[in-house]
Amino acid sequence: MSGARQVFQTLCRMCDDHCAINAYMEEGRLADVDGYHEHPWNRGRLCSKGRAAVDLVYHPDRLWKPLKRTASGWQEIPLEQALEEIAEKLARIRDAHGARSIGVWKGEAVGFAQQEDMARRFAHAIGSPNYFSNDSMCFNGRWIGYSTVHGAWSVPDYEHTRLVLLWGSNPPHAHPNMTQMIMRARRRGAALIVLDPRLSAIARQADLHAPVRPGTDGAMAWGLIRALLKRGAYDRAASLCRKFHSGAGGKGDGRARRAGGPDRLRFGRGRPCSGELRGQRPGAS
Amino acid sequence: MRIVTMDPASCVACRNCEYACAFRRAGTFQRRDSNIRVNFYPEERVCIPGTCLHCEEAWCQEVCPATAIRRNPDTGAVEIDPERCAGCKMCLLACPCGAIRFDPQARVARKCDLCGGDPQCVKFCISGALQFVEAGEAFSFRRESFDARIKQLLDLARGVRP
Repeated sequence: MSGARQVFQTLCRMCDDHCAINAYMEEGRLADVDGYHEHPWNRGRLCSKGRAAVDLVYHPDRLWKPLKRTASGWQEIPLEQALEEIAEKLARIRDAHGARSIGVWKGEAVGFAQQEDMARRFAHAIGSPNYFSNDSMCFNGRWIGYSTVHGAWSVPDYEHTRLVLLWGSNPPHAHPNMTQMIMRARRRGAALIVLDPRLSAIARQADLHAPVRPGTDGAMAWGLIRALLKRGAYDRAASLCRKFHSGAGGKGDGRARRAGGPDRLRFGRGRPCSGELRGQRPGAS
Repeated sequence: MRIVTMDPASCVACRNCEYACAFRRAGTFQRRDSNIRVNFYPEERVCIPGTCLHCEEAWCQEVCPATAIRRNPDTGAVEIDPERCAGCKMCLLACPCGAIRFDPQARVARKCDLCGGDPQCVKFCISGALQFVEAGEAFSFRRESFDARIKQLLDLARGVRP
C-alpha cells in the first residue's frame, strides 16, 4: 500500500440519516469509509451499511451496462438497444391493455426525492396514474403525521425527553443515530416504550415492550387516546389541542369510547416481559 | 490509558461491533473472528457486550508460560504476540470475563488489542453502548443515570409532579 491517503469529509447517503463520514482516498480510489468524529449528529459512529459504500463503487457485481436475460443467461446490450426494446414493449402493453396497465415503481438513488418527479411525469406521459415508490412503505405515515401536526418534517428532541414512544419503528436498523440519542435520553432517566409485534432490536432495551397483535394498531391508538382522555393526561391548556384539534375534551372522548378502548387491547402472546415494566426506571410508570 | 467501556443498558445487540472487529481481524463478518462478543438473552431481554478490559493485574499475562502476553506501552493494551503464543489456552482459562478466544486455524489465542488505539468496535457502535474513554473516566456515565434518578426523587420530595 503506497501513496498518500487523503481524507474527505462528506455525508453518507445510504439512508436518510445522513451520517457525517470520512472518505479515504488512495491513488484516486475510495479505500475506506468511517464516521467523522467531530460531527455532532453521528459523533463519529457509523453503521456497517455506510462502510459498505466502498463496495457500492467497486463491487464486481456493479452494473455498468444494461443486461438482458437470454436463454444462455445475462447478456450485455448497448443502452440504445435497451431503451428501444423497453419502449417498444411498453407501447405494446399500452395498446393491448390500456395505459393504466402500466405502473412505475421508483426506488431510491443518490439524493432523496430527485427522481420522484421524473418517475411521476413518466407515468403521466404514458397516461397512467399508477405511480408507486419506496416512499409509500417507508415514511409516508411519518410525513403525513408530521405535516399535519407540526406543519413540517421535524426532528424530535430525543435527548431531552422524559418518555420515548416508538410505534413500529426500529432505530438500530433504520435510524442508527436515533438509537444513540434515545440511549443518551435513557441515561438521563427517560423511559422507552416500544410498540412492535416483533422483539425488535430497540425493544431489547425497552422499559415496556408491547407486542401489539398485527393489524390492531388502530384499536391500540384509540385505546391509548381513551385512556389519556379519561385520566385527563393531556395538556388541556395547550393551544394545540384547543385550536387545532376538533375532539379534545369533547367529541373525541365519545369517539374513543365508541372505538372500543382498553378492553380491546390485549398485550402479549406469551412473550416474556410483555406488558410489564422491566427494571426500576423512574418515569416509566 | 483508554479502554472500551460496555453498557448493557444501551446495547441493542445489533452486532455491528462484531462485524467491525471480524472485518479488521480476518476480513470476514464471522462472529468467531471477532474479539468482542455480544450475548443476547431473549428470555430476559438483556444484551451484554463483552470484550477485554485490559486488567492492571492481567491474569492472562501472569499465567502465560510463553510470555506471549504483554502490555503495549503506547496504548496500555494487554496484547497477545501470536509469534510467541504456544496455543496452550491457559489464558482462556484464566480470564474471568471470557474475553479471550482460541483461533483454531492459526492455533493461537486471540484477544482485543484496542486496534492500536482506534478501536473499530466503538466506531461502529450505533447505540453508544461502547465508549473509548480514559480509564479514569470509565463508567462515569453510570453516575449520569444515578443522578437522574436522584433528581426525580428530589422532585417528588419537593412535591413537583413530573
